[in-house]
Amino acid sequence: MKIVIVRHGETPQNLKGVFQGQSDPDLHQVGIERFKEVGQFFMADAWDAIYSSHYKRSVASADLINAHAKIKRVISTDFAERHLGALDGVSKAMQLKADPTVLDKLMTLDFTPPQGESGYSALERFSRGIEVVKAEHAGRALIVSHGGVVALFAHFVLGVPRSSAFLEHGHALIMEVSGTAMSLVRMNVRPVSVDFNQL
Amino acid sequence: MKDKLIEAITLMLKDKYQVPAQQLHADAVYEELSLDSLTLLEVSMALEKGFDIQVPDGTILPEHTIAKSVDSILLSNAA
Repeated sequence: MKIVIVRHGETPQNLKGVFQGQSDPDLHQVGIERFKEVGQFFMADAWDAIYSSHYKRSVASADLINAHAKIKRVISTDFAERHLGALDGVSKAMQLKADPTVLDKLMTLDFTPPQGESGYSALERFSRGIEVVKAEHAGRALIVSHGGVVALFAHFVLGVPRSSAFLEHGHALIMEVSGTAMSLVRMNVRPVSVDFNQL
Repeated sequence: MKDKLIEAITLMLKDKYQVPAQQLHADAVYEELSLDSLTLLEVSMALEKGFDIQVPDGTILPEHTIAKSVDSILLSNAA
């Protein structure tokens, strides 16, 4: 089977360049317009289901895809963004100035941001969600999730280098599942550049 | 200054992010080097510190070539 993971559309916080973990803003108009376009690339009969996390930015992005595709919708908290604790809402640029290693730390399993969630815990949760999708579908499944938690999965499970593991908004990670094995097909794919319905 | 910035970026991409040297040239596009936006922000901050310049968020974008991003940086700092 094929699993496609897409990062949600832009929120006002994304456009300000701040870390966004457990905060739960709506999509910005930029994100809405992006996912109206992304939705055009998914056809109902090609997909078993479309999953999202319970965060508004993920739900709204998946619903915008589904306004066109009409795929079975599932919401799973396993696909939520990592809880970033005190980092949530902090400017990425300012934090990088204060601590140039912060992105490296966030991509290690044993690092826990103050009052946040460890990389290990976030990855374990996300992987559990993937196992459910694998168990319930045999064809193609689409997941609308979040940059940080997907980066952990891409790096530690699929072997994507840290410098390539962060999905851009509306871009996709495509992976193939065969039995218990999972392998990366493509990373950070623009929807316009691939026919997802023929994977 | 432009040549120094291009040299600094290519050196950083090769040494820190293991981009193959043969792919690194002024007209290389960041996303074709498989570098994501967080990595480019990290590069931006390293340039700010190393050259004592301003590299506002969004100055180096995945769809930019190295040369174009340096032009944007120089434009930002000329203002």
